[in-house]
Amino acid sequence: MRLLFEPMACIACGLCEVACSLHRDGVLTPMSSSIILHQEDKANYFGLVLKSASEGLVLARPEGVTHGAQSSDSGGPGAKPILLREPCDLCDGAPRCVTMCPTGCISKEG
Amino acid sequence: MNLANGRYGEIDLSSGETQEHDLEEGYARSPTAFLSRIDAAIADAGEDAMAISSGILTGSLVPAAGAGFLRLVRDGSEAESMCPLLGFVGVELKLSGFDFLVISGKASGHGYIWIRDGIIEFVSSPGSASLDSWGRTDLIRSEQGDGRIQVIAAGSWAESQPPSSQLILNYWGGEDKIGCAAEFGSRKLTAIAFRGMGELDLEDSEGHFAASSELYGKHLAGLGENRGLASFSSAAEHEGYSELLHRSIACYGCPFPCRSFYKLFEDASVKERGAQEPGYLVYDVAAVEFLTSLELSPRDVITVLMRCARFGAEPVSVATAASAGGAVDIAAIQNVLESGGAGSSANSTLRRGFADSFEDVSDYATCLALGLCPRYWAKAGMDLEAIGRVSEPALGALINIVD
Ligand code: SF4
Ligand code: SF4
Ligand code: SF4
Repeated sequence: MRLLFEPMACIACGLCEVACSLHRDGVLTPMSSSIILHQEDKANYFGLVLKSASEGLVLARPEGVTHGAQSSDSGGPGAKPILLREPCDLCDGAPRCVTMCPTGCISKEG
Repeated sequence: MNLANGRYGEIDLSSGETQEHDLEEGYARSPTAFLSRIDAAIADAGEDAMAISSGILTGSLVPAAGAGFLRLVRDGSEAESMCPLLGFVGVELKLSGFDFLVISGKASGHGYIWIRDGIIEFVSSPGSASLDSWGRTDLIRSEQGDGRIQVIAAGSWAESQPPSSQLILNYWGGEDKIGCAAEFGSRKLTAIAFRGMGELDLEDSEGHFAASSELYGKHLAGLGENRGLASFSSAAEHEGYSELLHRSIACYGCPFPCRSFYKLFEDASVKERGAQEPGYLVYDVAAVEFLTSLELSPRDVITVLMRCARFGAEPVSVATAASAGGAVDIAAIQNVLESGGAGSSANSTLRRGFADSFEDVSDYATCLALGLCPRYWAKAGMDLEAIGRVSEPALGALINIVD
């Protein structure tokens, strides 16, 4: 199974981040999620970074989805850098970010 | 404490002193009790104090639970003493380590309050006095080195403290229809900035997740297709808006956003990073409708909203002054903005805002005290039973919403 993204469907609600932290640690925070919402306010440019176990970093940007790239989109200084976070474990088969995402931006395949 | 930090912060701008206070277990068992506790803290801090607060459920998985609010001590209804704080402001405030922050006194020079990881400080910033709200926000984000810092900024209009000044949240305006920015100006406070790195505990995370995902599904089925601002204002259905529409963007936890970004200086269909300031995020429904009634084109309406945001001025009041009952154009509005706002009055009849989401203003106050967006819940249908059902596993207790 893997996660698929349709970046232009994202509305930057942040629910996937906290759904992930709930799965990992039973708390609500965007600080420990395997998925990070990246936002540049003034340009209204936003997308997602997923630390996947099998595909490296998945960047779901408005202009398209790329795999394996390194990213500096780590959630900001002081936030836990994405390279130190746990990779996505697909919530043991029932991805919570997919369940919470209100727009269908994240879906699962396989 | 579940969904809470169990403490609040206090800063006296006159002395620069800060304090932390523990909050009693269960102090927020109802919206009324929560507001009373904030009011007591304000009263303890002195006659001129005010507070910024997250809500009881802010940061939870209850739909649209991203709101916070600014609380002033004023006569009149809750609509005059509460200003919503949307976007990610409420959540980040709670994750910064405090349930609310009480601010008293006046600083001797311009500066901003900076809150993160349980630390509150006043940062002197004399250079920010001459900046507009966007410049103040940019400066703080660059000084503190983080583009996700949430900033509530006043603009130059706040300097002369008119009731028509408006607070700007991360570049955008629409929440402050009660002149809170004048409170900032009177204290030489250019902005409040925060970054939340904390986490919120839950009693039963599985139960909260299950109940909330069920409620989101129910809401989404009833709300239908989202068209951003056009789903909340018929004025935005004009094709002139759709031509400029880039993307709609939500506040934390909102599945049905009213916030639409329109590109003025770049093709709206451009997906890549392009111009740094290509347009403006519009969610001030009342201002869009008022400016449209003055026969401004969609492009001009958005331009006016953007300029008002930079000055920190409330657009309905500005346009009222510029039109003086007749026609209005951008040049007349610019003249009013450049006047600096001294002596200008507020159009308090027409400058409606989130407080008008419900007929009964007590629903508005309840929503904000709970940390829920009043506009979203008015649209989805205020359902206290559902809010109780989803929040109970998170809090470990049933909230008393109607006491
Ligand atoms: S599938 Fe689970 S672990 Fe992976 S990003 Fe989504 S919520 Fe996190
Ligand atoms: S939950 Fe969906 S819409 Fe919301 S930020 Fe995540 S991917 Fe985007
Ligand atoms: S309805 Fe609009 S203001 Fe309210 S939470 Fe949603 S996007 Fe934010």
